[in-house]
Amino acid sequence: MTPLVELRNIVKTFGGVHAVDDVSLSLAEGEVLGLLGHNGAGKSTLIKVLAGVFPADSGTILIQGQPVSIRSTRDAKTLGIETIYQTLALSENLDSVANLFLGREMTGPLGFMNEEAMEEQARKTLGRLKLHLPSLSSLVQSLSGGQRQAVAIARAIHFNARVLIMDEPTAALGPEETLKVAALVAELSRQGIGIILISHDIHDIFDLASRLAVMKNGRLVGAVSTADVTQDEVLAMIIAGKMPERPNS
Amino acid sequence: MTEAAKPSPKSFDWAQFVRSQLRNIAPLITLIALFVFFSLASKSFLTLDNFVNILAQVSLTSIIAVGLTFVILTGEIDLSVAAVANAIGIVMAFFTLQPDYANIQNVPVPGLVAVVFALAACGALGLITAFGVTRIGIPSFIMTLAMMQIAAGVSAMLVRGQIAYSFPMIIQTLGSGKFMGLRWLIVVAVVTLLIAHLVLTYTRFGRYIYMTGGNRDAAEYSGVNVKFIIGSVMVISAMLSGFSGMLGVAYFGSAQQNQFDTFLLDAIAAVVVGGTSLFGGRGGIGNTIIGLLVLGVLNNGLDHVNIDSFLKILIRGLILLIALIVNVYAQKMRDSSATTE
Repeated sequence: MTPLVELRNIVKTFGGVHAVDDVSLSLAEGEVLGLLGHNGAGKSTLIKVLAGVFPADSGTILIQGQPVSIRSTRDAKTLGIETIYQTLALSENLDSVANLFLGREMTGPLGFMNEEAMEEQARKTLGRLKLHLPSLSSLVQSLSGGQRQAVAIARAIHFNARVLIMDEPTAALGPEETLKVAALVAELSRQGIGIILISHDIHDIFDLASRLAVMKNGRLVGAVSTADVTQDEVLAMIIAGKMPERPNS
Repeated sequence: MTEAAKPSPKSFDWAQFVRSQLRNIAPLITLIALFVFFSLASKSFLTLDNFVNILAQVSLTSIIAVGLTFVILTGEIDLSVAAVANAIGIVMAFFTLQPDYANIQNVPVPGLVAVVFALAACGALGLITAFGVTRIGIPSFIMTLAMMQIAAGVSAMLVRGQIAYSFPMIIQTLGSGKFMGLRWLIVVAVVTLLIAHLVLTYTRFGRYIYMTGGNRDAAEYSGVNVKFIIGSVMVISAMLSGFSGMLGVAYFGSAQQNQFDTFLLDAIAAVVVGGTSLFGGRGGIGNTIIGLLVLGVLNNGLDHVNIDSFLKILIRGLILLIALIVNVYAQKMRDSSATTE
């Protein structure tokens, strides 16, 4: 089956330093891929290439087998690649609906915003994610960390995302909130959205991801199925940069 | 979030409500308290005539305060509003035929043309401010301080210490005429406030103003042209200040230097006393209206009671200080209640 996203031989250098050095990686529909590595391992750079923050120096990106050119975040969004940064990029002084449509508000005649239509759409999207916020009209600053994460996710998938990149999705959350985000990730995966979770901490994403890719010093150490490895083995990959010593992993 | 809606709302938490609404409640209580106080302290305060008086007195300030509300909502500031108002009133007079005794070397053109020139002049001043803030990157506080001086310079150059007395007919009507017994000035102020409220609440532009003040990074990430929004509010502020200056000189019956000096403090005070956050993103025209009324009632009421006129200045300063404390305090309480969630 053709992967949803395929990165081939991606190279990105900053002033002679190879931030990403010849990395190839693929993501299937509905797959939850964890991307692990220390700070500076190159995972953020790789993801920013995919999200269109900056273009790769060389290498190819294929979406469902078709080579694509991603030169800007707008290009990425048009292709259905949405990114949720750790800061979530929400406007706390506005309500959930306003945040869901941030920068993409629906307008009616005379250029006035169509609040009713936006609220209706927001309700649908939240329903699709089986999310229940206490009130759509309460300001984001009154929401909990997990609820904010939910608003950010709803915004990302509202405009037909096929690939969702999440940067440290549970780092700032308590155990209960983490479980909720996990349920949300599982639900999105069921709906066929490919998800990339970025983290420097294996514990944050080991239970969420079905496959783990590890990077070190700009290179891909390898990708393993979470079912086949232990957390210690993955930890060894992150630290030593070597694949676990056993046949077929 | 994945559980069903909360079982049943807990008994209504008044303390929480007051904390979250302090920004809106405090100004309203202040207004009511001042109103009650002056009504009891003076026989002449509580009359319809005086109420209309108060409205007329805050009308000019309110037009300036509308522009300033836009600016402060984005988290910026405009210190040039009063100087720009002054300069534009004088620019308009400069292009109007003056009586012989005015002794100003000016360039008379037809009235409507003079109005267009004046509007173009305030647009130009606004664009300069916008350019400095968004393209060069000068903090708005300093940029508008410079613009304050530039506008004062324009005023000084054009009248050279003289006073102008004639203004275009249409401005004369709007600034000092009446419409069915009501001052045109009040009508213009109310319409300006109304339009501003509609723009802020129901248009994308208004939403982006709140977004720019709330989380600039999020706004940029969402594809909002933050620089354009900030530049726009600077131009809007200059245009409204200029418009207020044009109406103002007609209202006063003369145009001269330093005539609008008190308007800077009054306009900023009205916005901040009303509860619009100095940090941007929170507040609005509703807050500004309350702030304007607080200031109007205070200024007017102090004239109705027997108080040392020098003490009045001090009292105004103290009220402003209290409003600033509430403003910052409200922000802090919101921030802490948001993080302890």
